[in-house]
This record gives sequence, C-alpha cells and structure tokens, in this order.
Amino acid sequence: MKHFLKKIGLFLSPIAVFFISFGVWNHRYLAAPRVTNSYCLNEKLYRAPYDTLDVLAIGSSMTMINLNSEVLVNGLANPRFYNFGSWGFNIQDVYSFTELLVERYKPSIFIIVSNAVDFRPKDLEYDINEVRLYLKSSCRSLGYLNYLDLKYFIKKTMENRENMSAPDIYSSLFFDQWGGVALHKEGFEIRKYRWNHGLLFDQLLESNYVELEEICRVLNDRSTKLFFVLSPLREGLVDDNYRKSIKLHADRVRGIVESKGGTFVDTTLYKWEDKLFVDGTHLNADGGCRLSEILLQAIGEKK
Amino acid sequence: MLFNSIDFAIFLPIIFAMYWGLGGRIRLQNILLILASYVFYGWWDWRFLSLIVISSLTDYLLALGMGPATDKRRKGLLLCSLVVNLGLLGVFKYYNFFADSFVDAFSLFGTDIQRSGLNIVLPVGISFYTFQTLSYTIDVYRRKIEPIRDGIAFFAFVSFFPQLVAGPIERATHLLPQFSRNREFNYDQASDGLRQILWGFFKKIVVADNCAVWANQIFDAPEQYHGSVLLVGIFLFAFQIYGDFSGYSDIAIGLSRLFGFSLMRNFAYPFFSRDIPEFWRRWHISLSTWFRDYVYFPLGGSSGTKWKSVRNIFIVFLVSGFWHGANWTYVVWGLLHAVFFLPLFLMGNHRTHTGPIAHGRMLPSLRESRQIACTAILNGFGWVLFRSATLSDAMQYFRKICTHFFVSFDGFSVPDLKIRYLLVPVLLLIVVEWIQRDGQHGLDFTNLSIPRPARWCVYYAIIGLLIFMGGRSQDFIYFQF
Repeated sequence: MKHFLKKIGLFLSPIAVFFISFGVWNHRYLAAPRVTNSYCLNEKLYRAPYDTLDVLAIGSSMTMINLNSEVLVNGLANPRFYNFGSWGFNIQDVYSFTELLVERYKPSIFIIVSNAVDFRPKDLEYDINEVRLYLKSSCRSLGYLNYLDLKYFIKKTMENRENMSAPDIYSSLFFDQWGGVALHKEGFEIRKYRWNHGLLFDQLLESNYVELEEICRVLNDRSTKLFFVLSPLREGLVDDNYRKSIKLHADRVRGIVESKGGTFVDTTLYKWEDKLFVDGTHLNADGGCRLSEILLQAIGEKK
Repeated sequence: MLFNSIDFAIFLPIIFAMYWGLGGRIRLQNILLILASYVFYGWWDWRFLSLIVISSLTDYLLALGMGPATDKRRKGLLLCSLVVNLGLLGVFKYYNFFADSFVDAFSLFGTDIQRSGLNIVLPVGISFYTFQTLSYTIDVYRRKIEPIRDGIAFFAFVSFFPQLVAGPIERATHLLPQFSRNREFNYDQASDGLRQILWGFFKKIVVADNCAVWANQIFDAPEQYHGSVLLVGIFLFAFQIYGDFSGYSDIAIGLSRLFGFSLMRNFAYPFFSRDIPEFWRRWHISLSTWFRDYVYFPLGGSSGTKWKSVRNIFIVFLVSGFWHGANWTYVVWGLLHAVFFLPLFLMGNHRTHTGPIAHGRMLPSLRESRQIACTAILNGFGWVLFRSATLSDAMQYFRKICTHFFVSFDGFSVPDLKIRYLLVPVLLLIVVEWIQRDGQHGLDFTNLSIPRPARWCVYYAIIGLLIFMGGRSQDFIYFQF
C-alpha cells in the first residue's frame, strides 16, 4: 500500500507543481468559478460584496462601462455601491437578477444604464437558483469545487492577465473597487467596425418591454428607487431614421418606468461628442463621468 | 454522485483510506461499503434509497427461506422475489409508459380517457440493481449458490457503489463470495485499476461528452440538416454512447479493483465486431449474458425446434429493448436487432466469430474490414431508433437521409467546438483500442513491456486531454435505464 501511495504521490507531483506555479504566477488574475456561461458575469459575481448595499447598478456593458463609479460614489457621499453590469446582459437577465439582488443586498437605489441593444434576445445561460446560492454563500471560493472546469479556469486566467491589466482595450475588465470599468482614451485602439456599429431596432423583443415592466413592479413593491438611464449613441451614427427609432424606444421605456414610480433619465437629449466614445455605444472614462453627472443630477432632483 | 464530479473526487480518497485503514476486518469493511454506497446513491435523491433497502431485504429474507424449504415453497418464494422486484421496476420505470399507451390505444378507437396525473420519477439505476439482486434469488432457487446468512455482506453486494447505478450487472455467484473473503491490497491490481479508470474518463469526458454536443444538436432538430449531416450524427451518437457507457464500466471495474474486488467485463471492443451476434457478445456483456442465463435458457434456448428457438430469440431481444427504456423506440430497436441476428442464427453462422479479430496481424483483412463496416452500418439503423424520442422522429430521420442526401455541412456548427478537434479523440480511441484489442482495456499494459517514463507520458497526455479537450459535462446516458 505504501508503495502504491508513494507512486501516486510521485505521479501527481508534476501536476501539483504545474498548478501551484500557475497559481503563483497568476495569483492576481485567477479566473472566477464558472457559475454562468458569461466570463464577465462570473468575474462580477465572484467579486460581489458580501454586505448589503445602498446603491446597486445592473445591466449590460453599458452599465459596466458607461457609469463612472468614482463620480457616482463621490456625488452620493460614499454610499455602499456595486456595479453588477456585465457583457451581454439584456433586460430579461436584469429581470431574472432583480428580485435576487434586491433581496440579497437591499439597496435603496437601483440603476440600470441601457439602450435599445439590451432589448434584443437573450444570450446568457445560467440557473438563477444556483446564482442565488452562490451569492448567498459565505465563501465564494468554494464555488471552485461546485463549478470545477479546469480548461475554463486556465484559459480565462490567461485572458485575465490582459483584460484585468489593460484599461484601453474593448475586452477590458480593469475593474475599479466598485466593479465598474472606466476605459482610458489614451492608447485606445479604436476598431472601425465597432466605431461604426450602431443599433438594430428590428431585433428588439416585445417580451423585453414586459420584463421591464416587471422589474419596475418588483422595485416599486419593495420601495427601491429605480433610475433607468438611456445611454447615448455616438452622434455620427444617428440619422433621422435612427433618431425616430430611438425616440419611439425612449418614449415607450419612459412610459413603463414612470408609470411604476421610477425615474427615466434620457441622456440622448444631451449633446455627445465623438471624442467621448470608444465605439458606437460605449463611452470612455470622460464620457462615463459626464453620464454619471447627468444621473447624479436626476437623483438629486428626486431627493 | 457522478464519477466525473468534484464530489466524487473528494469522496473516493476518503473511502479508500478508511477502507484499507480497517485492515483485514471484512465485516467493518462491508459496513463501510454499505454506508459509502448509500451516500453515493443518496447524493441524487435519498428517498430512493428505500427501494434499494426494500429490494435487498426482500431478497435476503426470501433466499434464506428457500434454504430448508420444499421445492414447491421455494418456487413460491422465488415468485415473491420476482413480484416484488419486477413490481418495483414496473411501477417506477414502466407505469407512465403503460398508462400513456393505454390512453393512446383507446383514443385510436375514439374513446378519450383522461391521462393519469401520476408522473413517477425514475430512480437512477433501478434496472441494474434489480437485475443484480434477482440473479441472487434465481441462483439460490436453482441451487447454484447457497443463501448467504451474512446480511451485511448481502446488502453490500446489492449496493456496491462502483457498479450500483450503471453496472456491470454482476452475478451473485461471482461477486457475492468476494464480500465474504478476506481482501488484501494488491499493488498490480490497484495500479491497473487506476489505468482503467483513466481510460474510462478519457472515453467519457473527451470522447462521449464532446460527441454529445454535436449529436444532441443534430438529433434535436434533424429537419434542419442535410442527409450527410444526419449520417455524421449517427456516427457521433455511436461514439457518444460507446464512450459514455463503456467509459462508465471501465471506471466501475477500475474502482472495484482499488477496493480488492473483481467485476465482470462489460465491453470487449464491440465496434470491431464482424457481425451482429459478435456485437452482442462484445456489447453490454453483463446484460446480454443475464438475458441468456435467466430468460433465453429457461425458455428452452436453442435446444428445441427451430421455431421455438426463433421465438426465444425474439423474446430476448424484445425484453432487452424494453429493459432499456419505457419507450416504443427501444422495443423496435430490440426487434430490429433480432431481425439482424436471425438470418445468421438460422444459417448456423451466429457463432462464426468467437475468436480474436486480425489475430497475429497489425491490420484487419479486407474481408474483416468489410464485415466490421457492415456491422457498423446495421448498428447505425439501431442507433437512430435508440436516440430518437419517438418512432415518428426516427422515421423522419431516416426519411431525411434518403430524400435530402447532399454532401453539405451548411449551418452545422457548435460554438467553441470544431469538428477536427473532435476527430482527434475519436481516432485516438479507435487506434488505441485496436492496438489493445486483446487486452482488457485501452491502457492494459500488463503484457507489454513499456518503460515507466513512456507510460507516464501517456498518462500525462491523457490527463492533459481530459483538462483541455474535455466536453461539457453530461450525465451518463445509462443512468436513465
């Protein structure tokens, strides 16, 4: 038996050495457990606070990138804040998470930064009950046991090395302490395709407007103030047809949000210069500051 | 608990250490095995443990009763065992099927009957442990084995976790005495067991789980693809089910060897079979021999008239199909194999290929290659039935292959999974198993003198494949049976 165990130990030692070295080399970038099929959301959930929050933001990359955490936190006198915004989140996802997050974090202010792109069909896959258990657990590192996927772990850890240290790339996950990502305009290599990519209004799903209504209802029932921010589009993309479609969408969303006691903040009514964008819909850090100031003003007016 | 889960990776070393830590105290080891097996099974749904306990207790007591009884009483006790075990199986596995078929049959005649509100959940592996415990009472009845007095050994035999949920379906004559014998740790047996486990994981995680992604996509929406893609779907499903089930058996056998037990072989490279009868001697051996010993022979086997033998073969294949699931697709699958089997049986050629294939040669002869290919094609028809949800789905699949056969793979893609990467493990599986066709499993190095560094490189390469080419985790297909 001793001989057998010794041999196993000897056989496993190179594997252990590999993983230990890998862990030490990448200790700042270790990928989060694969709770969902979204790499970004997994990182967000892993870093989510254990304590309750005063202000909570959720939505797509529009929420993660276009909302500047520092401006918001300073403007609201240092509330407990976390930005759950994540790539690919649509309104249906926001709805799935709303009840869970409100119950778990009990925020008094709930922010969604969005535009029509978030009303397209759903991409993400997750079991909301699993996410609930994961967020409620007192040690999320145990998630490595429940959601073990070594291939994913190694691959995403390598990706994290770049994404978590570069604030000037599209795939940046250079999180600030509140979960937001402020994209630096210096050194940002803008890609033509993304710069000219706008919104496809024919892909909007009717059901997402119904989901939005449900989100508003849940928040209203729990006396949580909703601030729904309509994110701007790069001026160069907007022609008359576009403007019309945006207005239709904005009016519809405003109607839903305001009928349930929420606040609709339409930033498309402001002038947005191209230098504030990194592509058709995402703002750089300066743009994020501007959007957050507009939001702060709306929050101030509501107080 | 799944073998390919982190829970099991923690569970196994703990049980292994405790088991051998008990030294030669068989009784304590058996108690530990019962507890471990119940935890292993209860991880899915602890409520179904009661079925295993009922089955074990019934057969233990009935067999004890058979010992001193008269022949008539023995028959009665055996009947009791059959009623209890097959009754449980019937209720939990076939109730929904019979209720629905009953309603469908009446609706054919225009009478609408309300469907039953009962939706009974199928307990994992019920067909496997029911057949295993039945083999005990039947063998006691036939006086092939003495009834065992040691209840702990018997309960451990029925619930032995490595093979509890997906076999191999062991015979009491083979496995039960091992629970009463002193078990000593054997280095060679344990290390070969580990190799077999590693090979089983390769088949399950790398081959089956990857094939499953494609096969599921094709079988779930066959109307979206050309015939060429549907053929690829059959090929992939064949490797999925083989990798999945034989992988499980390899892991089960390997685990048993770690604990000092020897289980029967369940697969002997069935894809190298030269005809359908040989396929059935190589595929799910523990089940086909079970049917042979407990259904076919008692019916008279091939000793009576030709007509009787044909009837018996049909019955065995029909029951075998039905054993796989409460669905007409399995029944037709079983009958189809009977149809494939019978011509060779009637010509007396069903035992032509009992020896090794390409013996003493590196490659199969042209004739053997042709035979292997023909057998694979015949099996392909069966796999469509086996995988389809309904008979009409299967018919639609066949129809599409015949009427829309273009060599085109348009619209056939799975994100993050490229088919050329999938071909590598499938080819590796075929090549390794071909080379090892005289061995017990793909990594059976017992008769080969390969230096340790080379062997270890093979193991590390397989572990690398498990990590980097592992598919999305899927349940073992045979759990549903």
